[in-house]
Amino acid sequence: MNWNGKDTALFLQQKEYIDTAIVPVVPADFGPGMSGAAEQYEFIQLLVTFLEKQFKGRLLVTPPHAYLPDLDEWASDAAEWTDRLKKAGFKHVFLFTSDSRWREREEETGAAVIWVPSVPLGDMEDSVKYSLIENQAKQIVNIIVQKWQDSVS
Amino acid sequence: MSKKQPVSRRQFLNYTLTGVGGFMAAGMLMPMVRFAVDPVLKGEAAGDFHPTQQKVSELTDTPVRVDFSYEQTDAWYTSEVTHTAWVYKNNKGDIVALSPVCKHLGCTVSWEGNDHKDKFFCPCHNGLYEKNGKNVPGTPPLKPLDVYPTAEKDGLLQLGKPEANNV
Repeated sequence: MNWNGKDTALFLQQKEYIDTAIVPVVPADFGPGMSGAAEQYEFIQLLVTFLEKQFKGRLLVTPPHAYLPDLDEWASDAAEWTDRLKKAGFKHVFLFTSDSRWREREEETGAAVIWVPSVPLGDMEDSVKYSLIENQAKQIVNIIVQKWQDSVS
Repeated sequence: MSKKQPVSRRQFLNYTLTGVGGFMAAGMLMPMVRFAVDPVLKGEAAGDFHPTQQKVSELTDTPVRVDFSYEQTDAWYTSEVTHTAWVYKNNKGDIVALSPVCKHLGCTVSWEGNDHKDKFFCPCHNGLYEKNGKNVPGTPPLKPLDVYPTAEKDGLLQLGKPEANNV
């Protein structure tokens, strides 16, 4: 399910089937790191779109969680996001990010952090871009399915 | 001298004026006619089928994944969308192209996924479909998988807009 009116209305009806939330976590850097941050956003968005296509009926893609990477408490909001999503009925919460600092903070977020190093997609042709994202996403598909199976057994 | 002339001045002027006038009338009428019949011509040219790279001769009775993309306009945003179909030949030799979109909540199904022999499997809530797209009772989906109309052009498969399956 995408973050739009139609899908979220369907989510509210079919809550018992949709137990997974995906949060794109992206830095909002308006200084010299701007293009790096924008590249990360572009990459993460494409990846998340692909996963949403695969698993439309079981996961909801939330609006991106943007943070200011140079603040001292840059990671402090994430735990609150996880908390609220879990209260809303999501059993599994995944944070998708290209910022490797999140790996050390995984425990305090209370969610599963999936770190994917971002690839500058800039001038790449669409078909190349698509197959690159697809390859990355296939590995993540396995991680997600594994999580689902672990929670059943 | 004037007796030898087969065309009189009056006739000459008549001929030239009719000729030039004819061209002018044609110049005005032809675009009008073209505009009038344009919707008819356009209807034939556009068609509803999208080409794929799949050779029809290479299809077997095992479903294969066929990806195809085309441009789609969403409000003012034009983008290239990619769609997938599972395509095989049934025992009558007809081409069957099924949409991979699960009729439960819209996940993507795969052929023999997760070791389900001769079935389409949906990983989200363990939905199952027979090879012809019919949903297996007792699993979450309530309707069969949609089916694409198929066409062939230059040996390559073309797919239309998915429609409800009556199996």
